[in-house]
Amino acid sequence: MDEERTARFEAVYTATFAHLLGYALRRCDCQEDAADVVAETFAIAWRRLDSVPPGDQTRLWLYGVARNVLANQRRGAARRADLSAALAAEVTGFYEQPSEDDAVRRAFRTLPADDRELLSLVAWEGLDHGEIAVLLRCSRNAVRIRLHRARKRLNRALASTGAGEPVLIRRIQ
Amino acid sequence: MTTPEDPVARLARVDDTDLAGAGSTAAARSLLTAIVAEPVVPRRSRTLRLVAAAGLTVALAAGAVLLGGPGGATSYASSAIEVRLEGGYFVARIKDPLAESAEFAKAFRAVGLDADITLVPVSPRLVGVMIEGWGGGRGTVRSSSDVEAPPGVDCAVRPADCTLVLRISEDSTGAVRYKIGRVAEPGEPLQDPDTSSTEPTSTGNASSGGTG
Repeated sequence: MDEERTARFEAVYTATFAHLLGYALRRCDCQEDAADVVAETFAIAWRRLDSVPPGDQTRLWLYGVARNVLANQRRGAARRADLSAALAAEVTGFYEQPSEDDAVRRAFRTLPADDRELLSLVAWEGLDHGEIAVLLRCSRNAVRIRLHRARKRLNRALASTGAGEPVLIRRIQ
Repeated sequence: MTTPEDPVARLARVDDTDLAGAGSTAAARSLLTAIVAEPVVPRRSRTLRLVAAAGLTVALAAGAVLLGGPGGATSYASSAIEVRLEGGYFVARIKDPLAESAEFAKAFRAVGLDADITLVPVSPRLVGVMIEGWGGGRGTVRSSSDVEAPPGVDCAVRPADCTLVLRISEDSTGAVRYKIGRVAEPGEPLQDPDTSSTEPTSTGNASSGGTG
């Protein structure tokens, strides 16, 4: 029983590790935080393994947990330093990026956190409306509406920072 | 097709494809080994949820409560807490986790229980978990803590939307003191137990109180 459980978790871990690490790296300001999000999210998955859905839904479930872990981390959660220090050391390189797209970054950061996450799930994780609806536990229609509004606000922000020409939103609905 | 978030995509410092194989590195395998070594505590256990999952053992217990106060009340409700007798247990649902401990003690006193609970801010995984417990006197206290989810809510994902629940058996006798994890407020320092030791804490010695 224990071996079965461990084997299933290992399969989940191996299949989703890169996705979850990517999710965390793209959102955290330093590698230590990203590694902590990965460690804490997988620790929760281990304890809640019976709740982890199979197939494509696994990744979405983990994103949902990671999102919550991130929110709590931003409120000052303690780090799982013992588990994640080595992992953090491995991903240092991703934080040495050039500072191009600063105007876009500034514009993006002016958006409400919910808008940023919604746009990130599309732009970074490549999720569609249905997948985001599963992750956020809301209807596809709610996702469509919220995304439409987020895109409008992003367009305005990009225009105001001179980061780009507004894009016609209607075309992409 | 151009979309408004195309510039946002360029902000991503890493693509998942850049991380292919990251789950097989030594650090990732060490993390996996450490995680599966952690004991698993059933989420919906009706027995005591110990903090064993965090590597900390707390022996709760044995205390001794005399039930059935003079008034014989079996329920109590305020803006902070609601206590009801359900299936042999006094079930306390915390309506305001930030209320003063005195508010909770008052509720338990009203139904004849000498219970003192303190809610402390913790990491999401410890919300609803008894972090410390103490029981005094003779007899046995059967108790548990948990979180109750509204329909469609996963407490692991949205703990703030769930209700903290404490159950104390109707036939318990004695006094108990519990420290239970609650959702932290923004910026609030966490009071997670020190998980560096697997030794029981000194507060956990109440099990010697007997089983009455």
